[in-house]
Amino acid sequence: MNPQFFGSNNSELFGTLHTARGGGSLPARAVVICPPIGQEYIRSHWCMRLLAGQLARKGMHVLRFDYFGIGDSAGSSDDVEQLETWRANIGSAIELMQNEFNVDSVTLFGLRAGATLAASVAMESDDVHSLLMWEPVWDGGKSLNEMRNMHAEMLDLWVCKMVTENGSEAEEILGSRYSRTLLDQFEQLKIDWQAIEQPHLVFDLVETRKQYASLADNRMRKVELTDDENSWNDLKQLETAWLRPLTTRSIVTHTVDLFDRLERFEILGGLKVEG
Amino acid sequence: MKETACQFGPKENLFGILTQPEEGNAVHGAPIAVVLNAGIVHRIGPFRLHVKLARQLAERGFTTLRMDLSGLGDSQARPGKIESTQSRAVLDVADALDYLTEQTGTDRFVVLGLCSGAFNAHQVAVQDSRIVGSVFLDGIVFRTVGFYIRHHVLRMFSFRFWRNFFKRRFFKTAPSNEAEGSSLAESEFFGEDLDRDSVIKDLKGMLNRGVRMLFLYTDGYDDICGRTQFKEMYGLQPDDNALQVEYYPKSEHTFRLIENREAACNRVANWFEGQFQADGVTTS
Repeated sequence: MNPQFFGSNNSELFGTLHTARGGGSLPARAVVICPPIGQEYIRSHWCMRLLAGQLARKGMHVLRFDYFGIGDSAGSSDDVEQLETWRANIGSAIELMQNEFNVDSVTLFGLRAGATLAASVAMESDDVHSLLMWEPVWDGGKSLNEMRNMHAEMLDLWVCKMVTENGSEAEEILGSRYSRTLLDQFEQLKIDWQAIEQPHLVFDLVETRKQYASLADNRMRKVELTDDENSWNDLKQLETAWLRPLTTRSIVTHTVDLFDRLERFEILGGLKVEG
Repeated sequence: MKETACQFGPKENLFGILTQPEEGNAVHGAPIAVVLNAGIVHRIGPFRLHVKLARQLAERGFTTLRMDLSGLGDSQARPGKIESTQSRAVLDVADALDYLTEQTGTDRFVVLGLCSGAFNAHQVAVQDSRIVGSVFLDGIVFRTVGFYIRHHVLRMFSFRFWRNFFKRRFFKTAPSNEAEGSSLAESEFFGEDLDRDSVIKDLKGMLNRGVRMLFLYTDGYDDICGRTQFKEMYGLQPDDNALQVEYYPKSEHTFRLIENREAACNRVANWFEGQFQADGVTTS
């Protein structure tokens, strides 16, 4: 593991590079992990570390990173006024991978809101050849309401009457303060499934089956449904580690398979030629 | 403020983030704060508590290392065999202190931790003479008679207690109070080697060594109710100097709310400044 800060001086991002075991393959296989936000980021940190380690053991270079205002990166969540900041952070992470491993393009892996952000970056970027999404947030507004409900329930059960900030400038939700402009944008956040042109693999809960059935067919999409528990909106599990060992293993297997196919169809591209 | 990723320890298996103040603002000669993991949460701390604390200390001129103990966060497992009498945390922190001395020349440190982090901080502070201060957030406690009176009897007269009791009981989604049934002898930290007498001995030993201590307790921690419980537990009278004790009746164990988190960070930063500002020289 190679932990480091990257990005510009006033918005330094923290990332951990996992170099492929055995030197990796040629052309290099590179994965950028886009984590969730808020408390979901903390809950899934260990799971993302395990996933990155397993992918690296299968010959992939992997980067885990924290968005601006989250985790070890600079700033605080209420400094972020636009979703574009986090999208740009994903762009910086891709750039780091390109510079470190001399690759043309990468796979973006996203969990929850990270998947939704990754999808929106992939739609506009030539540097992303494929997309892996794990329990993506389909509808930012619905997700935000669920978090607000948990927050309200938490306050309701507090030992004494407590009120948290909820004004025109910012709102506190489950331990983080977010700017109003960011929340307004998050409420509008949706995945434009038809606009994703790259091959994309989606891992989601069985309970979302109907949602995927309603989508138009897309030969570039493969959906794997798992019978994992949906614990994101459960206040009792607000501070429990989110671990999904079986699905993690399945994701690793599918990712290897995805890269094999990309190579077979020559989508992966070669090493970047300097100069 | 400057933040640096650090790898140290045997085979560089340990990882932490060093937060340093601007050069012109640094209090040279002051001890460095070392923050330990709370449970299995990585070095940022629950709800990013450790990040906020480290940055706040940097604003006041102090340096902080937020570290992952071996096997947690981004630190690897500790290589080699550990003797059964040795604490993994004590060995990990000793490696961190060696590294910090090598990098900065400082050989005085303050160790901080929440919950299991406070337990580890206690062990480190007792065993490592380089520790000159400790902050225990919801650290080692055990129930006293006074606890039962305040917690179990007085709350019977609280409307909110009964309201929450019925909500927890009849609405399945509401979290329960898990530790309700534990008895006086069942404090989660008390193993065979750690009982009330040994903790008292440890605390007195640290006070004699000149270790300055701050204990912060929250209402959300199930085994303590009120600041007075500290004296009931250890027979030591808190003061405004080397043995400071604070109790936050509105706070949850992990400082979930920003208001509670800010109060705790301000208290720790003020304590740090009050205890160690005079030790150093500010370069401005």
